Amino acid sequence: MLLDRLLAFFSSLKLTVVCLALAVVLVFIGTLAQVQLGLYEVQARYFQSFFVYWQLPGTAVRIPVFPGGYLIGGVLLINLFVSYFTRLDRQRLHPGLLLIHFGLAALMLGQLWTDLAQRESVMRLAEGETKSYSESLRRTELAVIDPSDPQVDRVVAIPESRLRPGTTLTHPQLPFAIRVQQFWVNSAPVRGSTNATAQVTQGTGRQTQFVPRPPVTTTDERNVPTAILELLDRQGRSLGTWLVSDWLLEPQAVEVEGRKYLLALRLARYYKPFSLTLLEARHDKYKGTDIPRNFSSRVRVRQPATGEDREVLIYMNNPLRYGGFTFYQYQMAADEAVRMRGQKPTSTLQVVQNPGWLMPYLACTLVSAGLLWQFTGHLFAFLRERRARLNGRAATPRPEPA
Amino acid sequence: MNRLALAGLLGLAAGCGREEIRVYEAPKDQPAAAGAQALPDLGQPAAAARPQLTWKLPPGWQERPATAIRVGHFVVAGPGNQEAEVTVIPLAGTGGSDLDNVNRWRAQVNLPAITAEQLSRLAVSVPIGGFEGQLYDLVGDSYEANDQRTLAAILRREGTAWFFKMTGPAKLVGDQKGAFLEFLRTVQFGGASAGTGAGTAAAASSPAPPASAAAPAASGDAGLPRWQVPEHWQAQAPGAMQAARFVPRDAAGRAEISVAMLPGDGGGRLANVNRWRRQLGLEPIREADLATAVQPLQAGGAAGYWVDLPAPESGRRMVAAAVQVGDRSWFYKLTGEAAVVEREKPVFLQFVQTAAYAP
Repeated sequence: MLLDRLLAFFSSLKLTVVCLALAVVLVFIGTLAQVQLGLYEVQARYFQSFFVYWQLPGTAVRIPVFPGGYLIGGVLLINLFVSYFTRLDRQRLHPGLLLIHFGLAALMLGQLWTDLAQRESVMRLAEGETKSYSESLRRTELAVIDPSDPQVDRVVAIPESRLRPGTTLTHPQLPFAIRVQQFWVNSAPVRGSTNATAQVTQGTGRQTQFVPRPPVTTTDERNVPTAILELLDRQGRSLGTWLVSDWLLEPQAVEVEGRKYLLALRLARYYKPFSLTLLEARHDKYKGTDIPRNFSSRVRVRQPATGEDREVLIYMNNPLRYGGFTFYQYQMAADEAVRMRGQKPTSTLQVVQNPGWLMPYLACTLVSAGLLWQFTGHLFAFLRERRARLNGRAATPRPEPA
Repeated sequence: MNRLALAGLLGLAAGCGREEIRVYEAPKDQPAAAGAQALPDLGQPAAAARPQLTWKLPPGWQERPATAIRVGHFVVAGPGNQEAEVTVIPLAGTGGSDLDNVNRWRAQVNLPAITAEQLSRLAVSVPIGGFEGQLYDLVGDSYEANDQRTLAAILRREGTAWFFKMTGPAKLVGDQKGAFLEFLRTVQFGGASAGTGAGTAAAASSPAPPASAAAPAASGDAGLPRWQVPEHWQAQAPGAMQAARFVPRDAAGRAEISVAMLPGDGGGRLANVNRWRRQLGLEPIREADLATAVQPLQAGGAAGYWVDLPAPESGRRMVAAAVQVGDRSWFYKLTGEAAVVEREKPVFLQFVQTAAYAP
């Protein structure tokens, strides 16, 4: 009984319409909210969530006020499956309908996969520079680097989200614990003295004063975080307090148990098994104007594992697809003005890793094939019926005029 | 059972939001990454190594501790408890446009904003550690005792914008201008660490000079002419847009020789001469005066011209030559203190004339 009611609810067409209407409203309010929150925050709060919450002013209580993108999408997906299987004609298989429904499901699941697994980062290169890592556009990490090996650095990278004031972080690779005394999502260096960073006792971070700043939300600015960290040895004794900031040009040095470590708060890095060298960045303009004609980066790809070493030209709409990553031409500082100022031209490549990139193609193919099957079937049925009707009409004797 | 599954699902959902600590091995960062930086015009910090500088402290200047932002910080005391402050700030990238910076500094000394055209007239070329920077002298019109004055010099070099700034009471800054210019002249880039040690000048980022005569200027670059480098010239790391750079060994920081290549005629004779004049703070000349200003030159089978530009006000002088070979022009410049330029001029002209260009 209950099952029947549940099935009736989840297979109803009304539910589909309500979900689609809610999705339209969600997109609308999400677009409006971007003014205050910015693109990335809105994505996380409105679309990559089950509910949109409203926080009671002055409290930490969050009340769900609207279904989020995951909930609406999830219900639509269930609705799709349940309605297909409850209305399924068990006597006859309808391949067209089957393909259409699976195609739509693949589209939704593919989007979810992309949402969860896609990673976007950037690789900034000056001419002549080689890098084997890309950096996040927004996420920062606390990198604890052990530089003792002459060949490689051993890095323990703690994501920004774990740096909550008051928490103590430990890791088996580290001979010390890190107690987060302060973490500012956005900060700025200031002249003169403030008491904001008075407790810092170690490192070059002592010499600069920082103050917290409100987080920025627009896509062309980014937060520059600062943290104050107290390090504790294995016995829990304090080793001192350090300041790490993305503003500081150098990492902070720490010596524990006779071993040197470096602490750096920096944009999260994603290392690749290959390297890219920027050979030439070009920003061409139409002669006599400032209208851009071409942005291109000539890069050298080196893969030590296979000995591969080749040159590639990356330009607008012609990305480099390599090793599961796609490198798009993204930003450029290489025009005549840059060269005249005596700077090295730089190029920024957007690095996209999306294991689910084939899903939309697959889904669209399935839906197209299903629609084709369905409509062709209907067309043939109609033609058969028409022919039968015509034949039938021909067989009946014409009535004689009275 | 169902409750258990629900609890498991909730736990899973909660766990999804928690980012894990990553452990990895990474190749060591290249120190040469100084040119690269994040978001150039937003004034973001450079991800690369901290730029270094050494200097000779002028008398009467007191050094203050450097910070991550200010690699040099000094205070100059004047009569009546007056103080002027000198700061040295490297910023990765452009550090913003000169016009924006100058207008910000002008606002600080109560001066109205200026346009880009006015800016080019205000800029005076000054030697900063063997390189050529722009100096802006920002002083109000009134003669009130508490009027502020700012001397600001900007040098953009290898992806870093260096800002040298002296701010203080107009009278004191005026008195200290000579010391400030001398300070700019004595700074050395690329030293081990910032400090007061006079003459601790660590070599610039490029190594050993090809001092021997008849050596090709820079190994491995077939595009350069072959030239006879005088024995007493020391090769330096060329700046951006430069093909080669030398300094006379006994006059480092007081004069330098630079070679640059531009396609075509580099903008034409008049534009080139006026660009050089502007670099010395001289008024531009007209087309009609060009014939008397430039002298013809034969160099390596190619024709060219040269000019001698003294700037008596600043005590500086420039001898510049241009040689067009095929579809490109080579520009040679000897710039520095008038006395050193006078001494080096014959050697310099011989250097230009003996250059051999690849066919």
